Amino acid sequence: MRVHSTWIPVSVFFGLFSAVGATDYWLSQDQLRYKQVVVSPIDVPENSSVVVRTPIDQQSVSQALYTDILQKEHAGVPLADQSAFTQLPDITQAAILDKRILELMQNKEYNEVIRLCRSTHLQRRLSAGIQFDYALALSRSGQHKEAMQAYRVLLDHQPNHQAAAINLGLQLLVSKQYAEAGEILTGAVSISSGVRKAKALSALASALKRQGDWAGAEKAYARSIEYRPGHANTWLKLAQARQQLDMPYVHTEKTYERAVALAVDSAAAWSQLGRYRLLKLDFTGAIDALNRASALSGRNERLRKDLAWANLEHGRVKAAHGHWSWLKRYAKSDNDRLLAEHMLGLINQQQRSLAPLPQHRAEFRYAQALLAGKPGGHNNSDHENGDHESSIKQLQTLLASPEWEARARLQLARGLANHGIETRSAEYSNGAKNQLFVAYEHTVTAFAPLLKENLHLPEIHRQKIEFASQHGMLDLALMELEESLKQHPDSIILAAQKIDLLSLRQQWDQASQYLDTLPETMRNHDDIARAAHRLENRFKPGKRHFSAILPSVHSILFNDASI
Amino acid sequence: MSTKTHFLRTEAWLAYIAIVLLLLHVRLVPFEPDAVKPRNIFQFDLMMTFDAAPADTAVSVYLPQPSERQDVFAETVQANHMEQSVYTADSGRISRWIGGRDADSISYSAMISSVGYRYEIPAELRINPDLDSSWQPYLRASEAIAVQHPEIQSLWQSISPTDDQSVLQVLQVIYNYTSGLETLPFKGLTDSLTALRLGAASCNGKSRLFVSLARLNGIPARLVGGIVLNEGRKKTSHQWVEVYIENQWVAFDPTNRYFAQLPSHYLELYRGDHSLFSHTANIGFDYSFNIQDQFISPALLPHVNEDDAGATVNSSINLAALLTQINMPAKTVSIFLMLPICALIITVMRNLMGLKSFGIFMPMLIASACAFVGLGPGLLGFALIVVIAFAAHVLLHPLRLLKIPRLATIISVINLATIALLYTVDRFTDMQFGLMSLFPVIIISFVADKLHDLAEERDWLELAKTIAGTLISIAACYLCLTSALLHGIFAVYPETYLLVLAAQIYMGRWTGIRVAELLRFRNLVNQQFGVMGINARNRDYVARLNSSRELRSAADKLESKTRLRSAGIPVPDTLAEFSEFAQLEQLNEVLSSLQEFVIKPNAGSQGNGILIIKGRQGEQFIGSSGQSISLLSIRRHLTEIINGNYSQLGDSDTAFLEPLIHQHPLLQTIAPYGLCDIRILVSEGRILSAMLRLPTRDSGGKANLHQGAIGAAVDLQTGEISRCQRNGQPLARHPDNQEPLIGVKLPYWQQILDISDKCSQAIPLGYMGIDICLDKERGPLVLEVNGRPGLEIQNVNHFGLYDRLTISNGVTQST
Repeated sequence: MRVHSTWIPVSVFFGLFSAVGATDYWLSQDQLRYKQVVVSPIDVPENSSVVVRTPIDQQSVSQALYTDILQKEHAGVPLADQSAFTQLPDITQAAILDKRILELMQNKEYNEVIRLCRSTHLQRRLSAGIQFDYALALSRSGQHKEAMQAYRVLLDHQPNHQAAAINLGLQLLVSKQYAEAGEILTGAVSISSGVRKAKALSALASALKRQGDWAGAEKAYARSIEYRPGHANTWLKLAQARQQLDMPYVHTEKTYERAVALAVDSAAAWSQLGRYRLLKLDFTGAIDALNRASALSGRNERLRKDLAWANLEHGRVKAAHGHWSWLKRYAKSDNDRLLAEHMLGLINQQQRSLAPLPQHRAEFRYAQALLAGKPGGHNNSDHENGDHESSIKQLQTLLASPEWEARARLQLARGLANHGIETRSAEYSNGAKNQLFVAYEHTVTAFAPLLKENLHLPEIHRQKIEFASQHGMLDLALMELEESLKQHPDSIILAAQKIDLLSLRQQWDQASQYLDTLPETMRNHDDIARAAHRLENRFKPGKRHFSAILPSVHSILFNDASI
Repeated sequence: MSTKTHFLRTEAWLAYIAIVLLLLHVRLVPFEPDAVKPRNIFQFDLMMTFDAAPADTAVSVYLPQPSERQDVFAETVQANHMEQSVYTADSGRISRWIGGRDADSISYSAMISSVGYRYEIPAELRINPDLDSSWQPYLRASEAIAVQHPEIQSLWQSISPTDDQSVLQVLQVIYNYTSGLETLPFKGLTDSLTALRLGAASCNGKSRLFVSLARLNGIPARLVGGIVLNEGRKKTSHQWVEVYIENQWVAFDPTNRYFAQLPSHYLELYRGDHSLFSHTANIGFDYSFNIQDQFISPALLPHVNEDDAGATVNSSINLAALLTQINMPAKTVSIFLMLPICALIITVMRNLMGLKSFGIFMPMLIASACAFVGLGPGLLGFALIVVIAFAAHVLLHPLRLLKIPRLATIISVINLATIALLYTVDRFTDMQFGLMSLFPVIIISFVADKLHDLAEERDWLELAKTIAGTLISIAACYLCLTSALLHGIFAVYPETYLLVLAAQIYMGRWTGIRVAELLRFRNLVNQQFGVMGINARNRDYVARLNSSRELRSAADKLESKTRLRSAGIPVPDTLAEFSEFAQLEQLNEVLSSLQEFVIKPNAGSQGNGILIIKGRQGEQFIGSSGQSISLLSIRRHLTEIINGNYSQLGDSDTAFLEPLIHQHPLLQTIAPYGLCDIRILVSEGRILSAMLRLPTRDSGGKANLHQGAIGAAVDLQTGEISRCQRNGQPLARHPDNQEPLIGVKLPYWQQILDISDKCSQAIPLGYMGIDICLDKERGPLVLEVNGRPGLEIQNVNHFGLYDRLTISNGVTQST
């Protein structure tokens, strides 16, 4: 049939076409298959290295001739006047100059270098390759202006001279000519490679930073690290830039952590990490880092104070007490010693007649706010119930302070939550359950803005949960805690809080089980260890039952009824 | 045709010869799959640029080294004003260039073929504590690889496996730890301690830490450097690790997660903790790699068939090698080898599938250009050029240029526009648009010409079909041109071309129904009527019964009219002829006495170029639709005809004038919007079939079935209309005036049959279609004789022509 006669060649053609196409495709995939290698003896020795010859051979210089020339030079005969020198080929002359300069630089005889170079014609310096040493010697001997000029001359002759470009940039930085330094160092970056590029980038970042371009500095530091990843100082500066730009907390903290990982013995690095964490309300993290810094640096008043605050905020009253006591005795300024006394009074809940704290420093105003919030506070004996309004006003003035803003906001949040609960108490007419929900709503509303901030969020959660449990909202607090732990499963403070909360609810078995599920690294942490210890104490009969939540400055401040 | 005849045909003989030659070939030279089987080849290009140093400039780099795993061939180096020396060290193959002030770049390229390795490490293997001192370089610490450092030891203590003497377990733990480190895009060197402290590193940091831990456990380990051959341009190299186990260096890559395996797209350049490049300082050194992945036949590779000494190791023929010896580039060779197969594909597409395209072999040319730039960019480029040409056509149309100058102008416009487009696109994309200069721009200009014609006719369906057919043909040819498997087969076994030849001859003889015709004649095919397709018509009837001279003669309407008139067959008078532009000077004089007339091109077809003048109003003439036509317009139209715009033959043509035919009142009643004609199909003196074609408004007054005219089947015995259809749909009344059509008996029917009989004797075409109209005064007049009559008459009559041939065997139909 004619119709069938069509389909036969069509089928044959498409069959062949498809077969070829499929085979082509299959073979192309076949290329991804591997050859199985059977381990078998091979004879390649592979144990000697070959030194690659350097491409440029050094001109050999007779030692006797060299010594003779030098002696005459020392005796006051310039090289240009010595026939033994001038009769030598140019390349030998260059080699002698280079050798001599090298020796002088190694011996740090910079003035000699300068003298010798000045007695040599500029063209000779350039062709002998000693112009760079000349410039370097000038800068090391403090002649920065001349050094910059020498670098410029070299760069005119050799625009791709990486070291000269970088050093010129550095000199401009030293001379505070930041804008020009930025231009020169940008060029240095483009011609440099490897570690030099990293240095150029780091210097460029400094120039940008000085001009207020923190964003540019951050980028330059980040790029510098790509070329020199093991440089701790650059990591530290990058972290500082990120902090300045208020970049996400986790990211910036990680950068600090990498800096300290590379410089484990640097007290400065640890203390910067600690301060950053304190700034961002990571009190337990701050304590860890600051303790490391303290162990490395010994007596350091600044560190002590930071530790005093961190421990106080975190509720480690004993440790806080120790640090404030040290400050009371050893702080250099009177005001700091006064501050320490006030803080000790706050901790001991003692009323003492002390001079008022000055108001010129934000730290003092914060302390004042804490003190004013305490019932029968130090500064105003007329207020038996504490001057909450005064405290709030003080805290509000701190919102403009980068260092104290976060802590002030945290205090204000607690105050707001407390105020909401107290003033709405008349509306609780439908029973305890409803009352709790309303109270919980106030708590959530008060802390909600903080959870949107660039802060150590587990601490915000912890504070909120602590507040809720202090006001009897145990179920809601536990529910909130579970949600928080989902978001921050590695948070030590939340884990410790869960142990405490479960034991407060007398769910000791659950608390123990939860403790057992924690990884060893978490269980070894101080906070968890303390929580475990408290759990054990509560569980043992006859032991005094402590509060689930350690007394903190917050509970002292607001006289929470549940304590 | 009998089976015996089948096996004795030319194509069968060719196939036998091909098979015999193949068998002989395989017997003499054993079949080697690797000679034919395509493989992945990477084209590796390294470009280094720098500024000249005041003194000598030196640059060193590790070059790819052939080994058991990787093959390197077709290496070329270009380094003006530099001297090169190459030597092999234990770390790898180093090339060093030294040059003077004028040196500024070095380029190196090679083709790389490599195999992936997967290593099996026995689980029972133990760490060997008694390695001799020769292994010290691979066990001790170095500047960037700490081994006995407390931090490394502390790390090991925290991650060591239960059995710390098991090679497999130790390596697994090391691999898991290092591959689990965060990957950061460090470009500088990261020593192992930094990687450990940061908990993050790039490939070199992770690899160094891996080596540190392996060496700590007494397992010799070293870094390996190279390139990951991903297609594209890049500037990054890569480092991984090799560990010596038993008697084998086993590869690990903690960055890209390859445990005891090395993929085929890893190019090894050096072993040890080295830098890929070293160069004179302060020269602004820069470099980049460009890698292209090709799936290529080994027959096209330059070094196949030669061992290291240059002796031929495989004595089989390699057509590709012969062509490359005459400096034909590999890509061109591959296309050259595939051209016969592409031609076969075109044949199949047209004669078997029935796909139409712009130009018969034009898709093959476009596909060849696409083979250089890629199918996507190629088709895009083709479309862009067609659009440019079409736009040029449209812009030039009002100027009414003559045909050849018009095409020449379009070619110039396309050229300029293409240059601008290529330059602009090349700046913003990575596509190799420059290679589109290979496109046959001239051919494409003809495509645009045809496209314009179709668009002017508003035959959108036809246009769409032609475009689709063109694209399919291009794609099919492209797949064939780029098939690495076929390259290999035809290069190494050239006798297979005989099979292609046999297939082409077979297709040349094949007269079956095309696939597209199965759809066109689906009603007839389903009912198993003997439908005749174009292949059968062209080969069995037109080619057999009509000589090319007679076909040309039939296409010449004036000549046909003369012959018919001589045979006493009534034809329309010829009022005037214009074959040269100079004759148009007399146009005014010629037309001064005429009120109504028809202008026709002598070699026109399908009614194209016909201008009907129905009357006159002063100096203006009135067209078929009542429009006013000036003398100037008529002159222009005549100019176009003389220029050959409507000629089937493409040459200049003659325009002639005929009196306007007023058709028979019966036909005028049923089809008032144009001149009806009767098509009589005659084969070897026998009348096979007849149909009446009725114009409609939709067909623009033309009796063209493809443009919407009605086809009415006429009974050969009675001359009555038995059925009607339009665009494949049956109908009983004329759609414009609802006049009933079925049962209408055509006047002068016997006379029409007699005229047809006389035509078949007057014009020696064995197979012809005779178009007859019915004049009101003169009765049947033969309009033209067609040597290749269409096949739609089968659909109209609902009867296949083969069956008609059977029924009317040797008997002329008469009433």
